[in-house]
Amino acid sequence: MATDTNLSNEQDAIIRAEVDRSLRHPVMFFFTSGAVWLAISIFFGMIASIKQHDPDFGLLPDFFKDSSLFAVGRAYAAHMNVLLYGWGAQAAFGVMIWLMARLTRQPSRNSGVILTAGHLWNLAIAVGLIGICTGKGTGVSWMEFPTCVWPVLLLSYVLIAVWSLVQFQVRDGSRTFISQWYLMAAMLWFPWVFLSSHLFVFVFEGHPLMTAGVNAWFKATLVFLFFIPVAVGAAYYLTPKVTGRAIYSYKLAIFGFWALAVIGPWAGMQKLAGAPIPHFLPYMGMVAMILFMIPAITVGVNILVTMKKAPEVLPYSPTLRFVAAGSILLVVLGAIGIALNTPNGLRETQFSIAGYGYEILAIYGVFSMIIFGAIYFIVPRITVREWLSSRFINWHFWLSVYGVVTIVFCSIFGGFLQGEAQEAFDKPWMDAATRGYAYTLGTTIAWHFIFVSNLVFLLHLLLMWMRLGRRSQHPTLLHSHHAESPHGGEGFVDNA
Amino acid sequence: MSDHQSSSQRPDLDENINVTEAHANLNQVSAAAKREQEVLDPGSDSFPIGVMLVCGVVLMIAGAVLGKGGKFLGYNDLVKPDYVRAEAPGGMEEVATSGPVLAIYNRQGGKIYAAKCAGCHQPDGKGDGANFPPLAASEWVTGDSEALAMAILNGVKGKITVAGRDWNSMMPAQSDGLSPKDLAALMTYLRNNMGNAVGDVISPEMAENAMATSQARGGGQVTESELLSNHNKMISGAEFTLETIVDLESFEPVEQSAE
Amino acid sequence: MASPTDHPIRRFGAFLLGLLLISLFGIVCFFSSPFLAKGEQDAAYEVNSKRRLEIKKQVDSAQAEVLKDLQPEASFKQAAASMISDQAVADPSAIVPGSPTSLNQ
Repeated sequence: MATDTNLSNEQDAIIRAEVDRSLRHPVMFFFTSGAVWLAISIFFGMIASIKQHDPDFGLLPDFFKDSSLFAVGRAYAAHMNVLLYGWGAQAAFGVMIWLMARLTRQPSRNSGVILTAGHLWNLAIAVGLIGICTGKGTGVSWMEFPTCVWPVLLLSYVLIAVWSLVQFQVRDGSRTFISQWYLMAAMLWFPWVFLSSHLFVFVFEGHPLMTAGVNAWFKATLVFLFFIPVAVGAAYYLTPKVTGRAIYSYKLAIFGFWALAVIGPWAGMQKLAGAPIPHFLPYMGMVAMILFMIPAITVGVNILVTMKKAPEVLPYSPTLRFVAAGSILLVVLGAIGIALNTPNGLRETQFSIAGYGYEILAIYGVFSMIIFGAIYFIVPRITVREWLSSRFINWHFWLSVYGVVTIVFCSIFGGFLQGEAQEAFDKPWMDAATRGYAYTLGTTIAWHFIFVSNLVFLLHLLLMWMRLGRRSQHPTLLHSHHAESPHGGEGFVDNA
Repeated sequence: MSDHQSSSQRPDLDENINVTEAHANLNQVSAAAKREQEVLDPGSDSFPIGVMLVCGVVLMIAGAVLGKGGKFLGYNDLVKPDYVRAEAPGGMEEVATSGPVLAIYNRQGGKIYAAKCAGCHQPDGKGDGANFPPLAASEWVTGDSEALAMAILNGVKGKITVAGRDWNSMMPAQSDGLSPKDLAALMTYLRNNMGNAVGDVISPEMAENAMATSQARGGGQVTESELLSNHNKMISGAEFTLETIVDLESFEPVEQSAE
Repeated sequence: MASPTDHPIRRFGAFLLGLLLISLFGIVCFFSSPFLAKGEQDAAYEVNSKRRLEIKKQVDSAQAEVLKDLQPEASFKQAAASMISDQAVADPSAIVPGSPTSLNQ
């Protein structure tokens, strides 16, 4: 946006509006259907979490206990896969295509194709979910959709993302902004990781250990090379946009990008520590997980210091609040990565609930929080309406933060305790299994919080989708500004 | 305004710009887009020291972990070189690796007897009274060890007198899957349990020699006359005393260590 | 807004380049898979498994032949019904393994 200073501010506004208008259908579709899938995923997550500590579902009728739909294997698989591909991927695509269009200052010419591909993606996810729930899942972690689904997902992705690559090629000007680096990289990394992993796991005949290794690699690189870069790219755009300040240190940003690019692909094999694979592989995975702290802290420092330069905007902007939370949790993710992947830490937590906590922190705590911030920024622009209720936004934010922090704390702490109990192998294993009871219970309660927060978000988003948002020139902010509004006081109805 | 290529160079009034119309257009544009800020040129602050320090610490931790990883790209090392299994936390008592020969042989022989022999000769070795002769107080069991070995390895057919009674049945060969260790343990068990108390130990070497003799014989079940004429001797081989300490795995004697 | 480099051919070229880049790893995997994903199998296992499966096939077909006329399910039902209706016969001379009488022997 800073490339061509000849254009007036009004020209900029018109270009922005054109870009937003051209992408309104696909982006809104991605966000809305993503939010629906998120709610479904959290529902299954609650079921799976309840099963961890209360397999008989307590007071609920026997139908729940005996039903194979709610067996942990199916509920957990449904939860993770819908979270990743139904919510995560779609939200990422929405932000990605909008941001690439904005940054290259070009309206999209292929919104129809993108929208169709989005519907195809949704259809594939629905088929995959039904497949998992009826027992046809593949059993491979994070790849549990039946094998007919992933080629459709890949095809849809190509039809969604290739237009952004084209936009980048024909853009005006040669300078690029840091967000474009992250987004371009994510756009290429995702099909590389997705396609090669699925080929080696499902298509090529290989040693079963290789399948396990590739699967473990996929789980780490999907997060590090797709979700995290998209979120960080969005954060690097939104922060200067909303605060009006420049990014604190561009050198730091470029360094962080290259650090992620170099470190990210090595991660993953630490999940197979102790397996009969060459033993340097788990160590490389551990090192990469530890080194992830480097890009994490560069991004965190950059974003948060930039925000601190604009304290007058920070308390009021929902976008900034979500992005700030996501950035703080990114640094926490790096720190927890170190704790879990030292040799002692790994020995204790490898077979415990701590791994789940780390994954949820990455996907929900970091990626989803930043993307929520992006959604709160983008949707008013493409629907030309403002959000209806800052109270809804507040609830969404605080319940999500409480929820994810509780999950992370319970899982990590409980994981260490579980692992310690498992290491004492002269005691019965039930001791270790029951040691985690309180922590899985805490996780379930936290998922309930997150479920409520996402129902609120879904409702809010659906109202915006139905064009019921506020018609206003003033944005919906988190604290009431109305006392200073030039249009006078608000009256006795409190819309805060 | 987008069709005027020159308007970007001349942001000021062009002849054919209708200001009112342009402003009206602009008001139709989303208010949100209008009030957006530009993303400014990023700052050129230098690399903050704090971040460098944190990165340095992280690199050191990672380096320490990598050092434990052994050879980089070592695809043939499945286990760390010089890997020694760590001491079990919580301390388990020392697992014995050797023991007195009779106890160990009796235990193994008892297992084999229960699996292979007790079906016919009964768990107590008394036989079933009709078809299968007793092994308890049987002169064939307590007598020459080579005869016993031949009977076990090849089976018996035809009439045979055991404990003063004639038996005329058929015993199948039992050598399938029987290793010398197992044969030695079985014979020791037979000779020292169920009422027999010969007091000697058949060593694995003796069992090997017996198996060689059995091979050389050519196969087929033995008859009583053959046992009496050809195999009425003790098998040659290393002799163990009842005080020998043997290893639990190999059934061979171990060096006496000061315990 | 339309940059001087933006024309349909350039767009099409960018589209093809995008497709190529996206499928790059797939192409690399495809060509390197003979070297990387060999699917080694133990030769002895294969030979044995062939023989084993042959025998299994023969046994299965022979059994199916025999069972075709016998209808075992009907006889199972009949046997179960008769077992349920039969009284248990007590035989004092039979020693139940694990019972106190057997342990006293």
